[in-house]
Amino acid sequence: MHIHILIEFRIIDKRKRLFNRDLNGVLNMETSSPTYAELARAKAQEGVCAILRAGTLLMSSGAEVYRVEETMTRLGNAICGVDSCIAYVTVTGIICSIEYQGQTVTRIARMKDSKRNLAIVNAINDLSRKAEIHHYSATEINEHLNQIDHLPNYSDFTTALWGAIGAAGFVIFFGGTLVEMAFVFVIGLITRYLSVLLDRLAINPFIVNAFLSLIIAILSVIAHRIYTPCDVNTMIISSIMLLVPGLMITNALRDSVMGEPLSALVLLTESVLVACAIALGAIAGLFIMGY
Amino acid sequence: MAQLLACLLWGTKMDTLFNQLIWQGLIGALLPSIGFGVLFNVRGTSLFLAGLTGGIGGFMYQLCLYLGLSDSVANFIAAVALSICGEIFARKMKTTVSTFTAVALIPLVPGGGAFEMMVSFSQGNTLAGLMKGVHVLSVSGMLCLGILSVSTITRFFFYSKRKLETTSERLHKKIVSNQTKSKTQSADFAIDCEIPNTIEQTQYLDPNENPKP
Repeated sequence: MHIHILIEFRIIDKRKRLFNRDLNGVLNMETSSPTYAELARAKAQEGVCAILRAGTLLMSSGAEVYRVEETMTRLGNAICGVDSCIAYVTVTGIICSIEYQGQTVTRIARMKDSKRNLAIVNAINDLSRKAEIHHYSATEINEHLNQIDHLPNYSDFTTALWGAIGAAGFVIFFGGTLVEMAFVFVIGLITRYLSVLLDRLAINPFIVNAFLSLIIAILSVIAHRIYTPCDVNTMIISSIMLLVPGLMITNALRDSVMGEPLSALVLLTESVLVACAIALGAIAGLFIMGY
Repeated sequence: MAQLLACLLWGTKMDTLFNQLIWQGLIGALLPSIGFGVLFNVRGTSLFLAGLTGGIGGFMYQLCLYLGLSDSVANFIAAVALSICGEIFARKMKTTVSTFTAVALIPLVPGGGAFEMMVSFSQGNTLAGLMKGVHVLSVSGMLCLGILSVSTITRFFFYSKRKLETTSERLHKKIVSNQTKSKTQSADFAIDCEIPNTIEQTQYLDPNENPKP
């Protein structure tokens, strides 16, 4: 016990000395104030953090790559004292570097999953426009981002209901009947609710898609058994539109046209794999039901 | 075209036309657009306007198919129509154009085609799968070209004039604002970076606060 305390004290003493040495190095004890370069560096760090946060928010709410890059550059250049701001954005990661009074700071952010939220995209786009006029500082940008983080979202039940209505609308678009529409509404409601539940479990998204399409196929065949004139193909395709990555393909092509071929390739590969998972699930469901 | 005029003027075969254009095209695209608008967290009147944009896209698509155009050309014209609508609505509601176009594209986008492609691949029909895959790529390329052409033209007409006028003014403004901000910068620094006072130092050195090394 005695020895232990002694050792501890000795370590604390050593730490004290180390801390004092660090303090001397950082604060330059003679003038007792930090140098200009260090302050500029701190400022640059603040700016990079704020802009990177805006970029990750944008990417995780499903904005296009070129838009994220443009917005980040605009936000960074609007901060007063920033000489240049360069952002390099891909689908899987963001690199941003800021030069502030001759001091350069670079940071990286890793992107994991994205969920489409156009309200956040709009709000940050608005923020970048305002920042160009008012020259917001890094802390002000952070405050605005805090507000944007707490934007309201629709409840799970509302999204499930409207997703089901959208799936039922696809039956009209593909030229189906009203009975099929009713069945697809029920199937869509069940799928949306299940997808919300599975999202909370944080399972691999490909497996989730395969499982959901399996359930869609099984339910459509059951609906066909209940009322024979219903077409299984129409019902499956209409309800599968909730999962299918059609918008991802179009966005990928748009990115490649706007000068982001790398992200476009990544997105195209991902969308083909998602379509593969969905097809696999649907075929398995049809096989199980013996259709 | 003459056929369409005849239908509109004298009401011949009006039922099938109404069924294809209004019911299948307009309503059939409006409902999915609104549904996906809710999934994408679009709010208020812009949700309804996004649905309307999608409906107009679907209407134009079915109209082109009715006039006997090919599938990809129909998609292109529909994309042009819906992105013109999107630009107008975005100006009115003061939001980004993608609020409307991303939602309105959902009915036209070839998601079902991608699914069918993978189904025919997994059933062994490689040729049918390849045909569907090329079709998917061409349709989505047409959609993105339609949107891109409209946005390029509007940007050319609305922004180029303003930019030419204000280049020198903006430079002047930037110089002035940099001067004013540099005056306040020293004060900013003084507030931001104070030397930690002695109380904080003792707290940091307190043995109970620190974890064991």
